[in-house]
Amino acid sequence: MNQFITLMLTNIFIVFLLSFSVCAQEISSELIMAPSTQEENNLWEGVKKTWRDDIQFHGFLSQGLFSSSGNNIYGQSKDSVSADSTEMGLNVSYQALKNLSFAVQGLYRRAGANTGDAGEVTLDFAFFDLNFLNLQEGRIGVRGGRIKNPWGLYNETRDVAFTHPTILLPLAYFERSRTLFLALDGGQLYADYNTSVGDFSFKFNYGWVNADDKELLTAIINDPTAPGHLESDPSFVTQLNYEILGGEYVFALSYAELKMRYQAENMGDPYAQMQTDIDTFMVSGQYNGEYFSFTGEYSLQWNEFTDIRFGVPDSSPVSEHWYVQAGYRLLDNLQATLRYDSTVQDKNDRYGKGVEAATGGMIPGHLFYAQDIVFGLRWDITPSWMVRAEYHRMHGAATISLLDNPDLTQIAKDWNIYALQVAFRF
Amino acid sequence: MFSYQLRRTWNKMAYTRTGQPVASMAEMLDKVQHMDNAIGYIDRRVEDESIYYFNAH
Repeated sequence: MNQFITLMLTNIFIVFLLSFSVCAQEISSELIMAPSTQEENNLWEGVKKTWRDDIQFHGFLSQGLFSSSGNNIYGQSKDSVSADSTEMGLNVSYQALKNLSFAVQGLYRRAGANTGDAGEVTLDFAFFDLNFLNLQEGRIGVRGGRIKNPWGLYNETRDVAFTHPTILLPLAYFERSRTLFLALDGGQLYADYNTSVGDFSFKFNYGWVNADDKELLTAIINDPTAPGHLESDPSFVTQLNYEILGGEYVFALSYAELKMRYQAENMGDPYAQMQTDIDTFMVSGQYNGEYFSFTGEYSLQWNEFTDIRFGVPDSSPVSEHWYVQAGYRLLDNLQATLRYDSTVQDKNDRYGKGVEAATGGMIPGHLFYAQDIVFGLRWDITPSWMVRAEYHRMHGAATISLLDNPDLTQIAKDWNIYALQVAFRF
Repeated sequence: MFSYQLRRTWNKMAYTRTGQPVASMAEMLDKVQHMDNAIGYIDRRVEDESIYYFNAH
């Protein structure tokens, strides 16, 4: 199925250049080009469609096996093997009119104690897409409903194993902020502009994020017994993406302002006035060559936690995440990846010494940073089946789930993760 | 452009639904015939009067 891709390019010269590299790459494929006439200049004119082309289904599933030393990841993996990481997605889209389509994706997910043994089913996205302008040079439109957030290179497809090189995403996409960044309920304005020097894509999402995440709340107030939950106020996430030569070079700038407040369950809830503002950006760059790929992303996040509870001072830590990653294609379907990855929860207290001292050692400093050296191998057996394995050398534990690791005194500073994953898509 | 770059684009379209990837061989042939500057991959075993084969090495 993956061969069926149509690319629209404004510059015929580039098309010819590309055609040679395509032929060199895909010996089993032939390039077809048809002469165009003046009457056929309107992009969609003359395209006959059957109803089957109007409705499309796609899906994916993956199963992971994790083993670790020191701390648990996705279930009881410490000195054991955990299979508590499963993802399954199914989407359907319907092209109702030339410029109006609908799409829905459901997701089933098991991710250790966070989702429990039974896992959980969520509505991943559900939106209409209304296209105002659709030309070869670009398109402009709006989407409304539940929309994935364009955050960095991987957020929109973070649950689709095939779309990223390693089993565990870089630390910047860590599990605790997953729910918050994943999608929002509201609207999106999008604009694509294709030029002879590259393709620009702009997205602006505005609406309500999903802030109801127990791990996130616990991380902010350090109290797992709080009865209420976090609720979103209007927030936005925006991205400008620039790609040269159909993705040989990819650059992206993402920016988000996420606003939340605590919704008390009962009178006298001590956290009733608590508010959280997160302003954050991420810069991304990627090179995709014939054999080598290089990727780097850098993100700063300004957090404002105000009126947490009486007697607890407001805090405004600045988090920093970055990584550099190199991929090498040993064969067309076998890729090795090496990554150095770093996250600190508070730039002014990089090693959590302040928190550790303030709590008399109750909360260990290594819960506030993590450095990860990753080596992974990915084998695309067929276009539909993929298997990969990886090793992580971890220093620090900022990204672990406290539900999988409830005993703070037992959290290890230096630890290892071994992971294996099988994935299928259609 | 390398084939894995095409897969990347296809994956993004199929799993974010921010585009309609071409769904069938017939649709691909149709689009390549009717759109300016379009290129597409098909299986080389496909026989159709409208296809002109040439080599580019």
